[in-house]
Amino acid sequence: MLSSAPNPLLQPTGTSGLEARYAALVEGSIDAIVGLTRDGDVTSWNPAAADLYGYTEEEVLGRPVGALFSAARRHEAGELLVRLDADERVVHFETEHTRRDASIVEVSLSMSPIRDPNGEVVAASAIIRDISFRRRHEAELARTRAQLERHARDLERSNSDLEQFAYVASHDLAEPLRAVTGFLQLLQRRYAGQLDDTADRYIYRAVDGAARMRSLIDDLLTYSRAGRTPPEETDVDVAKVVERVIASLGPSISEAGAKIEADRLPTVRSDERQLTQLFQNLLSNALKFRGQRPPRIQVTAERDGRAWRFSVTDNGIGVEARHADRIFVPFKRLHSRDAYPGTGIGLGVCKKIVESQGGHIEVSPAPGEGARFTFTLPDRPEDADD
Amino acid sequence: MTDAPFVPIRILLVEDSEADVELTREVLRDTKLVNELSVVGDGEQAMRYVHQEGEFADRERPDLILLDLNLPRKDGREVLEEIKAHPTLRRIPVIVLTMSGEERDVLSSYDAYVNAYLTKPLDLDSFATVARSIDDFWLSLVRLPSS
Repeated sequence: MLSSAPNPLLQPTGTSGLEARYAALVEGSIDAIVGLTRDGDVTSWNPAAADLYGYTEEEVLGRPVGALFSAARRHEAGELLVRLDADERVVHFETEHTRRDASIVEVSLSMSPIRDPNGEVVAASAIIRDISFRRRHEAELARTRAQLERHARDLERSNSDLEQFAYVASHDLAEPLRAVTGFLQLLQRRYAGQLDDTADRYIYRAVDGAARMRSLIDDLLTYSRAGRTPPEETDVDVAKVVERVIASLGPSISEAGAKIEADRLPTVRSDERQLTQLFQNLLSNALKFRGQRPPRIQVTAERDGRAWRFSVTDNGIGVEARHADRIFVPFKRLHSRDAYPGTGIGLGVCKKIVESQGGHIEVSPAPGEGARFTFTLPDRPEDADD
Repeated sequence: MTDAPFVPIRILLVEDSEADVELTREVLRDTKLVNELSVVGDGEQAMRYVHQEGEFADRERPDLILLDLNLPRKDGREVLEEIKAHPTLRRIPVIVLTMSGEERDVLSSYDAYVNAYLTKPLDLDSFATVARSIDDFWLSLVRLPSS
């Protein structure tokens, strides 16, 4: 717009209303605005230019604009003037200028021709913005990105180390364990009656220990892998997942005389395998930690802002508030193995699954008696429109 | 007694752990059929055995191979692939019998045309059940190609 006006920059002392308004704009601008002759000599210099370069107007008037360019980039001044002659606008040209104190400042420069009433290019205006801050920002971003990439690589490597470790653990640790168990059992069988009760008990203890070791190894593997493999996200019908889990728990459900009720459950964007394991662990816990009464278990879902909040509520023995965090730590148990068998990995796996999907899991006392496990699953972009 | 002439079924067990060999012998001993069980401890020996080469020149080809996956020198995966890529050896049923319940091992074994994939249970009774199942199915029910 300035470029089609009758050249107010060349007449800073003009007194008409229009000129006064332009003058105010130029004076008040935070960008440096410099008027130039067609040959590139400075004809006006606003306060922002004085701030940016450290030269007063008197010091620069009549001097070639090329002098502002850093030695390394001075040739660009000539090139820009050639483009101006060709009646071309220059928009956000990034270059380096030199301040009065010889320091280098990175700038973005835009330049427009100014024409006389006959349309002849008689002068030019240049708007110059200090972009060193932006540059620093960009450099910072690049550094951060490089750092993130390095971390991602490290993580990938440590994941593959872990994967390797898990594999070795499942094979090489299990092998000797199997030998211990197998031969103890052979001993028990072949020499039954030739050993006394104490010897039989020792054998039983050793076999039991080896079997527990095996479950620990298996559970450790399950835990180390839970929520770590990249989730395969699809539209998962949670009702179907819960239905399948209930079917697979059939024998324990009828043995306990349990009743499981599920609300209307939504379809969510999630990893079906992980979600199945999550409900499997929560529901089998609800069956396992039952009190005297036959278990009554409820599965519900409700909207929580942009997330879904699921809950599994039972009428079992419950979890004391002071243990509410502890139960999610792998291998932490609240009860003796004799009372409630298991290694204590289930809820740890649940926590890893939920958190890997950006959610949160917690336990609270159920109304009356029992425990309520609540977890959230954040919305995925794909279900934002439902 | 007019049963068909008795032909023992030759099983090749490819297994490097001596403890496992002995346990497998024990559980197979309790099965119904009398079998000939030969044992080799690594994948290279297994290949020489099935090709009837070197120290195994006078052996007959096995009717069934029980293959562990993790073996010294040439591992079970390569053995499986080589057998299943061979025009005649590939007829021999190969059963992977391993500690590994890894999905990737299961998948790659079936991709290489394994005939069955079994995991070795820790418990002796369960292992005996596995052995009996092999016996019932592969050594009794299944008609194997005549060698």
